[in-house]
Amino acid sequence: MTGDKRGVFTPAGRCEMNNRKGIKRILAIRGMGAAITAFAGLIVIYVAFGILNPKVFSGQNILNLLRSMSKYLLIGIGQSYVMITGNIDLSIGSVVGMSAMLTATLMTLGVPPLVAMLISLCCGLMIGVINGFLVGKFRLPPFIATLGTMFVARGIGYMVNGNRNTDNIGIKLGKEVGDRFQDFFYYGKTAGIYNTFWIALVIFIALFFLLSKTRTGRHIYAIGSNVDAARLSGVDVVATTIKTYLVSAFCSVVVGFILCAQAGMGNMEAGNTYEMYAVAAGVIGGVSPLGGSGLLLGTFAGAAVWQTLENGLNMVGAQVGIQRIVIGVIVVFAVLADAVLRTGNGLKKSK
Amino acid sequence: MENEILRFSRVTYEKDSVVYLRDFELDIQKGEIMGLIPLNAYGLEEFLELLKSNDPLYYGYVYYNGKKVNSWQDMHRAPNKITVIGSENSLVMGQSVVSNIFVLREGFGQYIIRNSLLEDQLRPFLQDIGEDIDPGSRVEELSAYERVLVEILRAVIAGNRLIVLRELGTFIAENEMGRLYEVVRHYSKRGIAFLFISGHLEEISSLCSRAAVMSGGRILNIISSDKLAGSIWDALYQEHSDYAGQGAGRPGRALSEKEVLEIRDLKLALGARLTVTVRKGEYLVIRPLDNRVFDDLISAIFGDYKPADSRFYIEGDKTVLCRDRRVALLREHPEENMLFEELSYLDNLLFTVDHRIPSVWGRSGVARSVRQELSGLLGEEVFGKSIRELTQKEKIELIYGRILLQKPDLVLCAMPFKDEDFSMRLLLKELQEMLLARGISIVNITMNVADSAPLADRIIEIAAICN
Repeated sequence: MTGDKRGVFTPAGRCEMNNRKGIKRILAIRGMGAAITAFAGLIVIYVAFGILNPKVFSGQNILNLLRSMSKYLLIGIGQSYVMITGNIDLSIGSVVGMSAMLTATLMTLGVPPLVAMLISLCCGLMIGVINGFLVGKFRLPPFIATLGTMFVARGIGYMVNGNRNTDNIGIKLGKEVGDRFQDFFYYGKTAGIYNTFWIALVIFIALFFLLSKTRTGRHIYAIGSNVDAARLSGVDVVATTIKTYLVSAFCSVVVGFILCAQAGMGNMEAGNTYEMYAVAAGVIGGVSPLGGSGLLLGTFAGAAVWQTLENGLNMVGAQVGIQRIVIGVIVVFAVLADAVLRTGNGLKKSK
Repeated sequence: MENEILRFSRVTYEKDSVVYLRDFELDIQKGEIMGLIPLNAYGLEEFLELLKSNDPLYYGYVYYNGKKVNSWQDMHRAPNKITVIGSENSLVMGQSVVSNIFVLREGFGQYIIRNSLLEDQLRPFLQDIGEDIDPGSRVEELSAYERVLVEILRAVIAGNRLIVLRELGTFIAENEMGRLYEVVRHYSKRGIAFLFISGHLEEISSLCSRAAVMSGGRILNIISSDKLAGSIWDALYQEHSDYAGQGAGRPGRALSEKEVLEIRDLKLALGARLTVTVRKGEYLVIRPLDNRVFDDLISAIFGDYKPADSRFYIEGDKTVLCRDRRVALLREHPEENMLFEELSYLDNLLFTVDHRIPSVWGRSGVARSVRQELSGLLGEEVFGKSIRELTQKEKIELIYGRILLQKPDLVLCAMPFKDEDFSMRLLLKELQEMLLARGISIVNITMNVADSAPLADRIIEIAAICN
């Protein structure tokens, strides 16, 4: 017996009903469909590359994949926060570079890593506050405002060490301190997985909670959906916009630490074009560039898709040019899908 | 037939498999000012769309200016030269009056634009109707009344034989409406026909020679001017009048002495000033008599700009209205402006409740209990719909449901009845009465008091001091 038409009598029937309701409820969450699609795409891509080259399935490759995607995940989270409010942050890559250069320069001058990181963090957050004020308070177009801060942050990154890359970060602090910093952010492992991934995961969980379970999170979505209605409903649009740019700056600074640890030095070109990778991670995962919708879960999938594509195309020996074309096409299709879903264009048959 | 400007003959029109107009019959003669009273909004947008663009018909014929322009058999259709003028004006902001009238229209042949020449061409038209508008001024500098005039002039100069005027009374002040009627009569004597759409009998009867009553996508009746105030008319309006009459004057309604809002010396355009207090549970209508004063007041209240010396006090505390959850603000057409389409129904409903229940977004139990509590009022099925799928009625109920949960002391709304049909106006009145019954004060800022007067405890009119 499996229950009557309404399917409520037997435990089996009830269970089936509840499952169906649960799935429906999950799918009803706005952006969840796109996130699930991105995860499904990720599996397909991964398996396809694995068939072409079985080394893709090796444990070490998976670990490397997780570590490499962490950078894209972090900047993707930052950009997603900003994009959900309907804005964009072009300064991400430059803040990454500035953070890497500042941290490395200070460490080469003998400043303890923690202090160097704190100073870099403060500078990065300052850029976030400036972005937030320019966009939220003075209503500058976010593209222009963050384009300006992009150049400023990159300029600071160049200037801190006199327009050249830094020496090894352990040159004054000693090899042991330098190695510890590098292990903490890049080369070390915890429970068999690189620390980089754990760091990204902790930040992801905290920011996922902030976005989905708090008042601030709901205000961020509301601003992206209808900024005037949000303002009239009591949302402090300026403060909320600043918060999103602060999140973006924070994530960028952390990625700067990771790049600094990876190279063991400060590279002036660190983080170049990362802002675009961040946009790509977000939109592949279903974060709408028009604002108002998207889940960080999708950004997770988007970052993973991006990294798996890069990794897989490398492993099958595809040229860099091919890699870029494939990724570009996927990004365009993701945004197109968002536009079609929003407007219903193309879904209706014209008479 | 030779005097006929427009005829809809047995028109049935469907879009996306929904029939919007059925056996629609309407004719307008040359120089006639025809009224159209929509008892509900069903099919009205589609009628206006069809009027302009001649979309394919399911059945019937449309004649304009003596020619068959659309029929269910025809394949080749071109848009009609008909202008529809309503609250959403079609002028291009940032451009001058002459540019809008002459340059930005089909068929303007000159490549090099000589503004002075165009201004000289426009002046006789302005003198003809006795209006003094600077032809070189940008349209955003004009009042709503002047913009309507510019749109009428543009239609006249473009050679349109029919102009549709839609719910002008909702955004043009009463004294300006009188002047506008004169302009309309002036052009009707010159053979231009007008279709005047309004839900208010007094506006129709003061201007139109005949009026068509529309409901559910059909013309129910066409009444001539001598019968406008007659028995047929009364019957049609019985339900609405009965309802409106219930609250007229609100005799004996005891109001609390407690003041919830005080506006101190708010300086507005044209030298107007406003100082007023609102008591708990009071329904106050504020009616600016000039459009620029109205725009200024709306901007000040909705925080579009911050007047240097304005003072808003809620229960004695100085406040910024849009940041104070003791106040709910409703712009005009809130169903279009006050919802978050990307958020769920429940998120929209709970959006302004987090000052009372800070954990509302983290605990699903809160949302569940609210859903249970309000499903009786709002219906269960709406919770599963996205905002885009809601009907206008469901959207309005959602907005007022949100206010109920917010429990503000005061609701400030701008023209809540604007452009709404009879059934929606009745619904809005019921919802506003529900708020009043819960002790929530309402301040309604409007140009047209016809719908709000029966609910009002007080009506304040703001006059311009200088021009």
